[in-house]
Amino acid sequence: MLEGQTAYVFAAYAITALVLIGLCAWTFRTYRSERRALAAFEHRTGQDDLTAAAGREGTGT
Amino acid sequence: MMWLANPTRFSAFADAVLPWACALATVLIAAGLWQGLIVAPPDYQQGETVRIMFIHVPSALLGMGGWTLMSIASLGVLVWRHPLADVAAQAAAPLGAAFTFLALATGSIWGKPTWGTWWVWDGRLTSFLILFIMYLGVMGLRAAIDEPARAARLVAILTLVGFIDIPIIKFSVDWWNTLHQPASILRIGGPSIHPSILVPLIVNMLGLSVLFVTLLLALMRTELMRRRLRGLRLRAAEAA
Repeated sequence: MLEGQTAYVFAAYAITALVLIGLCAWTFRTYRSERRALAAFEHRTGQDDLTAAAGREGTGT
Repeated sequence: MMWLANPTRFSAFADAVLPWACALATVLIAAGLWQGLIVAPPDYQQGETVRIMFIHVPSALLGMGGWTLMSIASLGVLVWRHPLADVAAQAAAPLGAAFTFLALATGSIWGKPTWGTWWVWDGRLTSFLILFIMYLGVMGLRAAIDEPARAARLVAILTLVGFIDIPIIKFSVDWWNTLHQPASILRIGGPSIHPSILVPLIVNMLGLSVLFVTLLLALMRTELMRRRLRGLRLRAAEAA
């Protein structure tokens, strides 16, 4: 059992670890989900060439 | 740097940089943990709780830095109407909110054994809580507006108005009689901290800053992808 000041230090580092790991996991999950959605749409509509053309022209947004 | 202003070039740059940035952040955070939890000695006044400062101070600086970055990006949205500026502002908001929350939470945990209380309504703490609420506000505002261009403009205006809180946070300890200690790192005359504490603080600051930039690049890349998909769907709908 942690006591005194060590318990406060442990609590602070544990909360930080939870928040940062959660942030990294959320970032990775949203990236993976958007990448899949984009790939699926391009595959379904055959717009891979259109996306590539938009990329070359710099109109990606 | 101007060549990065093109969304496609930016995505390619992010793809190339992200693996290295991830690796660098991991190494620096591991070094920071080792420095902060093992190498650094207990403080003569704060004892072991000084180790909380190694995550509290970088989190606070990144919370304020996130809003400053959003304010610069907001100028880019309103003045130059650059699409990447809004993408940067949107990506920085959840990161800034997370680090601001960490600064509040770790500060509160440090305050209990040191000050004898979890919270006081003094200038520094209150202005920092306002920063956290503003982060939630801009994210909520963006989520509430369907039209992206209008959302970008309104969020940019709110961000620039909210920037007034940043100097208030910084100088609150000088302007008012607060329980929070005055500046000990970013002050005229240099840091007033002993090197045995300052070095772990700097290593942790570097580690968390690199993590912030890494996640920012990753979220910007994701948002560009989301906007590209939206554009393709619109074009497909118009063509149909």
